[in-house]
This record gives sequence, structure tokens and C-alpha cells, in this order.
Amino acid sequence: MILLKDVTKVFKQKNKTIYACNDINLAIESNQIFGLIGPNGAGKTTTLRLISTLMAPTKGKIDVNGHDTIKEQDTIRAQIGFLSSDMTLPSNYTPRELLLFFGRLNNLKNEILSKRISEIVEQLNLSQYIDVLTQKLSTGNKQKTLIAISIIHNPEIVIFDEPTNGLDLFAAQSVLKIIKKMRDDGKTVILSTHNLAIAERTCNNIAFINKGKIVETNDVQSLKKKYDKSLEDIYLDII
Amino acid sequence: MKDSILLFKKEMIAIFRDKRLILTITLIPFIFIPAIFYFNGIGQGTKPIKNFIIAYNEKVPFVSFLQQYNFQTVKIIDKSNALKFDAWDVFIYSSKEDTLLKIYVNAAKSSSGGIIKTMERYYLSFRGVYIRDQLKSMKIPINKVIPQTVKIVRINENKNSIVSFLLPFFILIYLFSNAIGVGLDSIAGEKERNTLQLLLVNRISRESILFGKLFSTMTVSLTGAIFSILGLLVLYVFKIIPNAGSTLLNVTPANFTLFAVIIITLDMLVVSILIIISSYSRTVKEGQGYILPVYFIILILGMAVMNPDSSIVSNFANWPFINSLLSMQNILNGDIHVGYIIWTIASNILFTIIILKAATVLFNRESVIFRK
Repeated sequence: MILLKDVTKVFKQKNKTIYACNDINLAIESNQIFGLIGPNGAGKTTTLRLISTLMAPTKGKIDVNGHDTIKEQDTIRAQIGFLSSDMTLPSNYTPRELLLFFGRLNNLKNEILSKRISEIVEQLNLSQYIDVLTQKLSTGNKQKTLIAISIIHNPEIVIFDEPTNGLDLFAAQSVLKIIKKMRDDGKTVILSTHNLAIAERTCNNIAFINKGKIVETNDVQSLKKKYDKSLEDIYLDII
Repeated sequence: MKDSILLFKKEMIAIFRDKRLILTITLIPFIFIPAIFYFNGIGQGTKPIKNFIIAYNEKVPFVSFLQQYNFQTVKIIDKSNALKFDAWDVFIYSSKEDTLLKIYVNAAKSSSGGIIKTMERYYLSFRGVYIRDQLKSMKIPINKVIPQTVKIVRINENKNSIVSFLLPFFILIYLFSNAIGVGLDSIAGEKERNTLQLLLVNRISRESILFGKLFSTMTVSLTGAIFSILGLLVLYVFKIIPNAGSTLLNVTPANFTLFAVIIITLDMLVVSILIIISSYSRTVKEGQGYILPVYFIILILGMAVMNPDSSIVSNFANWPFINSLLSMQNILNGDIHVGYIIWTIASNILFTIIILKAATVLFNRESVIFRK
């Protein structure tokens, strides 16, 4: 379970103070796909960076499976896989080399690691590209490789920030299939997106975020029932 | 440390795949020093040469003497034409009016220094032979006029050789120039391409990341320095500058070990400067802006140390970079000052630790890592 208690993140730029997250309270249950939905600049990426220990909150507290994101960073990092929309693959490596490196970094023994690589590669349909240099991969295969890296250590929590950005319909569908499979395997997936159709089809629970504040959160069915509208219309109403 | 080694190995894969980088860090240092020596004739300035043509207007005894030693000569009547130096480099002019023998040398020729040296040497020799013959004809024993004969014997030929000044300077340049690209790219480049987050979100400490980047950048810059030393040895093997390699070959194994330790610790210092700049910079271009003034200062210091007797060098002899260059010069010259060398190594390590500590503080700051 992930708990955000009164979380605020402030950025200071010259004379300006920007509240990227403003007093956020959230409880994300395990074994589900949790959608964080909001427009550009709403605070989605900052919230995900705070959960993944990349940033520290200015105020408030975040617990990931009972561990504090400030005091127990290593323990949390071992339990999460993070993929941000602005991450790219380093050049001059093959997906296999990168998976071996990140697997070893996460203390996976060689035997377990090679088994895990085979599993993921098959799952993501990457077998024929596993030894191709990353700069020669298509956008879809690059994204699949990034996903593979983020889950190589079999984390319990996976955080995906706009994972279908820039992908064609087929590549996006295969990424979403993988996300659903993760949930079915008992993982917690936090999915940030501004694509309402994807959120409606994929997520169990949703939080709408705008100007650093959570404006609404509930499970998808309850939200639709409460507002008697599609997610897209709810979004347009409350954001 | 395990994570740093893992990261180092990963970085080396990408470095070895970059053929252009491999050429830059091996071939260029390897041929650069030999090329400078060869094309500029460094170290050959005092070497006499014989492959030039001598013109003369009168076959005076000195011209006959030169002909005995197989110099190419040509007789010219007109002095004004002779000074055009069409097909010759030297014109010996003997005037009927006075006893002065004028030797004109074409100074426009790059080898004129060697030609003058040759002419001076042969004239001295000619004068000696001439005086001896004259004394003999007058039946005066030569030791009545010249009490002693003189022979100049060169010792410590390798001391203060051009190599002992140039090599430390070039090593510093290669440590720096080879590390700039890789060092800036290792963090600032990764920030720019958004590949750094992949590492940051994993179970690897910021210190381990810095050390992994430090080791890989050090390997690249050290490779350049090693190839510049190998290039120098090539000069010796192919006898381009006989002195060049012998300066290195005369260094004892113990002193060579000290020399290597100085280079390694100097490299640590150079690379740690690059790493802190790379940690702070948002892009490689921004990093280049910061590193350029540092590079110029190092260049100026390096050039100043080529004249170790200057007051600037003696006033700042204990400062980083200057102490490394002076220690390397001393080792190549065979002047070992153990205390000074230990201080050099210790100061390099000390400054590296301070800079890396500061780099770690910067690297742990969100405002630096996510600076846009």
C-alpha cells in the first residue's frame, strides 16, 4: 500500500514559488492499476517522482509498503519499477546488456537473471531485438525495453508515467496488455496518463489531479455512477 | 564499490563501441608527439647537417678543405647573383681588397641553424689544421703555442632534455583533453538525454554512480597519456630523436612506478574536476562553457612549468598541477626528491577527495539533478 499524507512539493524559481504538489492525501491499495489523471503541468510527474524516491517532499510523508521514502530509499527502490515519459534508452548498448546491468544492480544472481530476461523478453515480444543496439530499435521496441528494465527485478510496485506516449496504436495496445498482466500477477501499477480512454479501460481506481491538488479520487465505476457521465466528461467538468 | 565496478564495466562497453573515440584516445596521442618532434625538428636544432650546396667565388684554402670532406661546391663569379641563393645555401666570398672571408648563409632556409653550426665547426677544424701546418713548416712544436688539447665530454645528456619538459606537459594535456568529452557526457550528457533517471531510480547510491563515472573517465584519459608515452618510445626505436626514448628508458623501474603513481593521482584530480562540472551542468554544452577557462588555466600552468627556473613556478611549486608537472620533470631528469613526490601524490589525492565530496553534495541535490 502507498500512503501520501499532506504531501507538498515546492519549487523555487528566482522570485516564483511553484506548488507542484499541494497538500496531497492519497491511499493506493495493492494489486490494482491506479490512474493518476490530469492535464500537463498538473503535478503528475512530480507526484510519481516523490513516490519513487527521486525527489523528497517539502512537507508531508510518503509510505511505500510501510517504508518511508526519505529514510528507507534503498528498500523502496528494490520494491518499485519506475518508467517516466521523458526517460530514454542509452545508446551503444543492446537490450540484453542493459537488462543484465540493471538486473545485477538489483542483486539478481546470474542464473535467476538470465531466466528473468528470457521471461520478460518473451512477454514483451522482444526476442528478435534483444541483441540489436538500442539506437537501431523502433520507438515501440525502445519503450518495451524501458519497460523491461523497469521490471527486471520483479518489483511489487510499478510506476508508469505516460507509458504510451509517442507509440502507435499497436505498440500502445501491447504496452497496456503488459500493464494488465502485471496487475493480474498481483502487482500494483500506478499509471499516469491524460488519455481518458486508456484510463477507463485499464484502471481500477483513479485520482484526478490539477494544479498540484487531488480534486477527485475513487474507483472508476463509482465515479461514473456518481457523476452519471463518462470519465472524459467528468474530467472536463472538474478540471 | 561493487555497484561502481558494475557501472564502470557498463560504461566501458559503450566507450569501446565508439570507434571515433577509440581513435581519438589512442592514435592521436600516439602520433602527435612524434609528429611535433619530426615536423618542428625539436631537439635537432644543434645537430650539424651536410646536405647543402656551397657556392664560392675564389678557391681559397677553406673551400679546398671543405671539398676534401665531400661538400658539394659550385663556383660563381658574380656576387650579386650568388646572394640570390638559387641552387645553393651558402656563399663563401673572398675579396681581393681585404683578407676577410665572408660566409653568407641563406637564413630563409629552415635548416639554416644546422648549416651555420656546420660551417662554424668546419672552420674551427680548418683553422686548427692550418695553424698546425704553418707551425710545422716553421719548425715550431705545437705544444709551444697550444699547451693543452681540449676534448668536451657530454655527461648527464638526458638531464633537462626537451623530452623531460615536454612529456609531462603533453601528459597533462592528454589527461584533460581525452577526459573532457567522456567526463562531461557521463553525467551532463545523460541528464540532457534523460538517461540518468534510469540509474537514479535504481538501487545504486549517488556516490557509486559518481565513482563508476570517475573510473571510466579515468580509463579513457589514462589511455591517451599511455599512448603519448608509447609515441615517444617510437621516436627512439625509429631513431627520429635518439634522445627522446632514452630519457624514458633511463628511468629506473622504481622511479617509473613513482612516475606512474603521479600520473594516476593527477588523472584522479583532473577527472574529479570534470565530474563536478558535469554533475552541475544541465547539458554538455553548458559543461564545456565551465571547463574551457579551467582548461586554459591548466594550459598556462603547463607552459609556465616548462621553464622550471622561473619565479612563478618556484612560488607555486607546492600547488596542485604544478607540483605534479615538476615531480614528473624531476623523475625524468633523475633528480628524485622523495618528500616532494610524496607531497605531490598526497595533495592530488587530498584535492580529489575534497572535489568528489563536493560533487556528491551537488549530485544529491534535486535542484541540480532536475535543473531545467
